[in-house]
Amino acid sequence: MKFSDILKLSIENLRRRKWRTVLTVLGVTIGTISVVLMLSLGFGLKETLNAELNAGGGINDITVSYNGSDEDMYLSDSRVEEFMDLEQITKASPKLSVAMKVTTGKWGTTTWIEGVSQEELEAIPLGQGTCPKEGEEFQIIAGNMIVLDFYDTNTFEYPYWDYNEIPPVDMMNDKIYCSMMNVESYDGVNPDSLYSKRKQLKIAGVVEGGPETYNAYCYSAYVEIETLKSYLEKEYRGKTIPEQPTDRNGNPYKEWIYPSVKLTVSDTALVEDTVTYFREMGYQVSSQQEWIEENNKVFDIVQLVLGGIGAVSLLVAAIGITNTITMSTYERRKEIGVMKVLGCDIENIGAMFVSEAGYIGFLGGAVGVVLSYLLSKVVNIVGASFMTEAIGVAGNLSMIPLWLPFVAVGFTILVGVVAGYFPARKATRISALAAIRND
Amino acid sequence: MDQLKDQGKEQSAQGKKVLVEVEDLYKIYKVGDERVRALDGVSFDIYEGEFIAIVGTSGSGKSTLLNMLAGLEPPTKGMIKLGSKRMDRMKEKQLVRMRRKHMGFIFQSYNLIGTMDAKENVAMPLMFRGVGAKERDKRAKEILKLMGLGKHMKHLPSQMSGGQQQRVGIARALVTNPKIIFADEPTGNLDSGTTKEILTILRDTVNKKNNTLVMVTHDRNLAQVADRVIHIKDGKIRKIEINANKKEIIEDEDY
Ligand SMILES: Nc1ncnc2c1ncn2[C@@H]1O[C@H](COP(=O)(O)OP(=O)(O)OP(=O)(O)O)[C@@H](O)[C@H]1O
Ligand SMILES: [Mg+2]
Repeated sequence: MKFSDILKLSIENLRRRKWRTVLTVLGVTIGTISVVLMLSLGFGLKETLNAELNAGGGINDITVSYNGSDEDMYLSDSRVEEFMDLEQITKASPKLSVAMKVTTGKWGTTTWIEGVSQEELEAIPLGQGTCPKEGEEFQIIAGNMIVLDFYDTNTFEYPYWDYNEIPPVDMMNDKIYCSMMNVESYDGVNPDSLYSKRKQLKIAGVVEGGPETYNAYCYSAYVEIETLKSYLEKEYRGKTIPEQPTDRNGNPYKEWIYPSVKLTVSDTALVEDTVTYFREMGYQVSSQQEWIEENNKVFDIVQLVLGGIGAVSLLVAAIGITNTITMSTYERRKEIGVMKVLGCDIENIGAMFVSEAGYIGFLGGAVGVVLSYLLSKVVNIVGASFMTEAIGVAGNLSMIPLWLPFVAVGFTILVGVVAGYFPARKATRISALAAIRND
Repeated sequence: MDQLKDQGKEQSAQGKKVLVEVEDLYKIYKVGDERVRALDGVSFDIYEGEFIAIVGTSGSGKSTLLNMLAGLEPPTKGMIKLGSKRMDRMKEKQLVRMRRKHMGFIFQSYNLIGTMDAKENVAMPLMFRGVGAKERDKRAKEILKLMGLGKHMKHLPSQMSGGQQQRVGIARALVTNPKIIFADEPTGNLDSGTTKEILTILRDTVNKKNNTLVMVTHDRNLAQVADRVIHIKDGKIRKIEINANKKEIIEDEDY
């Protein structure tokens, strides 16, 4: 018997029982939609976050941090120069951060001030103001969410955290003062004595976004590192600069010592080896690449769980197919008997039912894939605000890769074939005598 | 019994070729603790191109015998040989193949596929043989015309009379031009006029095309259309009657 004839007979039989076919196909459609949509959430999240991480560049960057225990490992200026001598390192930018107290009127808060390279400083997206040029006086770029942390210095109440009101501070236009922490001036009673005399702080710009919009730069203040260093040297002349270590005798080192250095590797392929190299030296190392990989691993698991949930409804659909084909074989006992008497091969009889089941799987899968595309669009429209609010990244929540529809339809055909296999095998065992007995 | 068998063998001496050889065939059904001897030691030969009728009362074992000849049921004991092949030793898959290649089957209740029209029903055995759609169509049309159903090609079984349906059934059995055709009570559901019509078709087919035909009937009068009549009772052959001139009326028998 020709394969095309087997297919034709199966389709004819499905058409004969339109309602039942439609309902069974519907089951597969729902199953396909749930699997495809669930998987698409995983792909969407992964894709969007990776795109976000890659957009900030840094795929070739690694951050080397001091391990906190071994003096020999201090990340000093000379050590950073040594790193630069390594062939695969094209750039090294040390990090430095100090805490400072910021006040304006009765409002005050403590924030971290980070010293970064001029290049990095210029990469920060600004909402107001302009980026300071190299060699200019000490002025900072303020994170857009710093405003939320201001408290009333008289009552110690936080308008935002206590009353959900945004403090009436305008970083750009208000007169802002800052004072640096000074451990040596602390009298042990008055917390204010911990800080050096306040000075006016010049704010060059504020990071893009409102006071409640999260981004990578929203919580700290930024300044070019050399500017910060000379400012601190002036501020703390003859004293220990906060966060800078001292030797056994309590004297500061001659060189600057950084908590971490960001290194740029010449080739993405060398990142992994470089990470290992510094790790073996005894540093703590993190890289964007590892972080993306870790992220992806987490999302793979999330996706697996989501897909598994979706697969349950596909399993129910598969049982539906088995049920439909079983019914069909019972109804057609006599017909099967007649076919056997007339010399239809046993395998062909089985193939008829299996291809019926496979066809149901195909139809359900195809319709399911089409509907999944529509629903994916809906999810992305509805989920857009969720992405920005809950995850803080704008992008698609659901994404269907090009290959997924093909794999999905292939899989539903396979599900149909497997679901139809057992009833089909039973059908082949129906006796030819069923044709003759009148029951 | 031996004597009856010899009666069968006698004819091969007259130059006819044996197509089916049946020897010492038993079929015993177990119903609870009871054993029903549906066939109780049957031996006979069927010659090529002959029309054989199997007659007997209800429950005598006619259908059982026919089913076994067609390989639809395995015998409990005994031998069935088609040509040189031992049917009693075949697995179902081989039996299906034998039927596809060499046999045709006509049912009492027609057993046409309800969703297929006359032409498609007739073409079905060709489809099982892997014949292409065009060729199938052509051959089905030809044979339906021969059966006088040229105007009913596109009719579904439910749109035809019993006689017409049975003619479609016969067309379906003949379309592959099989060596041997089996018919179990082919006129059992038809009135006497239509019965005559169907029997004439069967008789003509054997005469013209030289197929072999085995027909089961409970009606001794109808059996007279055959070349030979095997009388069966309680699973045993009681008599094999030769209708040399096919015009004799059956005599009163003592069974
Ligand atoms: N599957 C079966 N199980 C048990 N007994 C059976 C079975 N098939 C047939 N028989 C018995 O075998 C005997 C012969 O049956 P068979 O059908 O061959 O009779 P028949 O001559 O065709 O009768 P009818 O003219 O009524 O069709 C009967 O006694 C019947 O009850
Ligand atoms: Mg019978």
